[in-house]
Amino acid sequence: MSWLRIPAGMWFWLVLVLAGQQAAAAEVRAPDHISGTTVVDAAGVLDLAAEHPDLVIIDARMRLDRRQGYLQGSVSLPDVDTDCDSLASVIPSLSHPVLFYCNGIHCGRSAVSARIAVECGYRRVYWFREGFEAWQAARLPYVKYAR
Amino acid sequence: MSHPYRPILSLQAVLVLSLGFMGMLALLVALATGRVYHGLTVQNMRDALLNLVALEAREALERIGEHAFDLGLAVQADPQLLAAYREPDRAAMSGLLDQQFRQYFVTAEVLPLLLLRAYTVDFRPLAQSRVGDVRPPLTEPVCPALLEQARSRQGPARFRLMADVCRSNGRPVHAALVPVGGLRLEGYLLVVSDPLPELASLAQDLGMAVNIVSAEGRELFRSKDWPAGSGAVARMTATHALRPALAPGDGPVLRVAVATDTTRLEARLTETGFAVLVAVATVTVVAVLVAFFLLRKTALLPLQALIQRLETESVVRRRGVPASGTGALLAVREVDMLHQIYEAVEHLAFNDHLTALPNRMRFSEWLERLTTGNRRQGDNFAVFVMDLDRFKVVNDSCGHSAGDEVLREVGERLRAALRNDDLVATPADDQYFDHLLARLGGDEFAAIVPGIGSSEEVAAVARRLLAAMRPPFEICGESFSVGLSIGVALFPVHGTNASALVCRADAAMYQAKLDGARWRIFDQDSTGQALCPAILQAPTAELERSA
Repeated sequence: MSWLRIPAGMWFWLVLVLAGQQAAAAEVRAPDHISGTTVVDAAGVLDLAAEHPDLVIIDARMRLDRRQGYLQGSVSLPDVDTDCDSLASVIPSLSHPVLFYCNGIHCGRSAVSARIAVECGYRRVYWFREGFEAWQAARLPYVKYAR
Repeated sequence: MSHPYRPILSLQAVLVLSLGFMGMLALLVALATGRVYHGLTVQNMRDALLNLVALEAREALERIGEHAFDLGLAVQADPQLLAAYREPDRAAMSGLLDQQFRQYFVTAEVLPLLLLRAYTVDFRPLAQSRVGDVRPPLTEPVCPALLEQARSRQGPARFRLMADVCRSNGRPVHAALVPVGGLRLEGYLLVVSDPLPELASLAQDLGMAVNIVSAEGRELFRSKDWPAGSGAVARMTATHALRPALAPGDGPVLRVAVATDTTRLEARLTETGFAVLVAVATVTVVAVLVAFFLLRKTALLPLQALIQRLETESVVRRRGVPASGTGALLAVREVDMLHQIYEAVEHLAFNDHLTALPNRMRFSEWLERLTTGNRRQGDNFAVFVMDLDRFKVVNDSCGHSAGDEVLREVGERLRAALRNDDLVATPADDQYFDHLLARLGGDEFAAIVPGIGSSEEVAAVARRLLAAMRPPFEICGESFSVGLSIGVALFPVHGTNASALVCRADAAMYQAKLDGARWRIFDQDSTGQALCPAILQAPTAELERSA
């Protein structure tokens, strides 16, 4: 059955491709950009907060994650609970500025929430892609010991 | 084997000595390298230790900063405090800080708190709470450089935690400025703490003895195993001067010294050095032995075999080796012998062994030298060719040994006749320009006499030679009268090359024999061309010109 024989070089590529897919599956990484949103970093969040005192900040993490601390004034709305209705309950209007964040670039939740918000028609969606890890690394203040 | 000279060293001894010397040099180099390696290792170790202390101290300060930041976050979790910041309400703030201070100070041991001070956004002091000997007035800044730096910040940078070490009231303190308010800045909280416990924990972290002294040299901390003095144990210490990062010009806040036991390192270094030395010594010995055996096989043994062979052929003995090598400072036996053998062989090749006069080969070589190369103008000379008359009578009546005896005496007489000072005017700077008497073979002799250009001068020499031959030779009880026929050719008049000169002198001598004259100078007309046909062709024009 000579037609079944695969050249040795092909085996090499086959193994490489399979291994690559395995590695990719092991690591979740947020996209660089989501259309309809503006990506901001930690300093950008502070600028945004100074510019819009009524900025709505949505923490897309699970509620348990908020125990390690959260951005002051943020509202907890996990991505799994996010839809147009739940968003409408925390954001006054479709033109109101809203910021999404989760733990960081290996956390996909804020990306999911931000996409839903764009689909629901929110026009001023900001996405803090680097998330809470970057905030902590920059030694910026946050709420931890809430009573 | 007895030699007429005393050898100082044999070639083998010289070889062994020089190889041994090279081996010693290699060992010395290895030893020196070992010392350098030792020094470098110790230096590297000290540098590494210093870097380690600096790194650990920095990490300890970062931990303190972490704790201070944590405290700051905990403090601002109180809504009353935030309200007091917003008002600003100094009295309320003071009470809240005292409360926080006590609460934190009692429950947590992670941060040895000294002072808490609240500032507004524009760095006006609001209130403070304190303990122990740090009692600055509210208006007196604790770490001025830190506040100065914080005040100069703009935008989001104002939200960042800032921390540094400095001196307050002569004691080292750690100060952290924690921003209050997560997204809207409400003010700052200055957390001042004692860095000593965290720095002292280096002893556990590193497993080394730690000693901390203040900038003035006062001891602040000393671990139990800190070495009291220069004990028997080898120790290495490294001291890191902790300076304020924001005001390095203020000088060190304190000095952290660590000491580590280097006994094992020293032992290992010594061990390594010894191992290297042994390895080098082994390699050197092997290399020296290989070199010695190779040289012995390729140079020494063949040389000795050659010398032995020459000695058994008795070349050296017959010659009678002169004792020239004994005066030399370092005479190597074999080389010296080779030199003497060479001299003996050369003498055999160029001298007639009956009369000890130069032979035909040496004569031709001499003549060749005189007629070629850089001759000076006017360096004329005469070639005398001499043949014995009635020599056969001696051989016939008394035998060949008597003939040999006569030839020896003829040689001596001619030599004596030529060794006349007023005949030989030798230019001092020309080593070749001396007279030469040679035995060409049989009863034929020849002489080269310098400084002769005229027939009068030739006649003078010829008369001397003939006069020397006049006394009869007394041999085997009889008296023999042996005559001499002389032919002379002059350089450059009769020829400018060796063969022409010899041929013409020969021709002149045959003419003399025919004439019955005792001597003759070459004369083109009388001697004719038939005797030297081949040579006459070329230099005729030159002859005419010089004549």
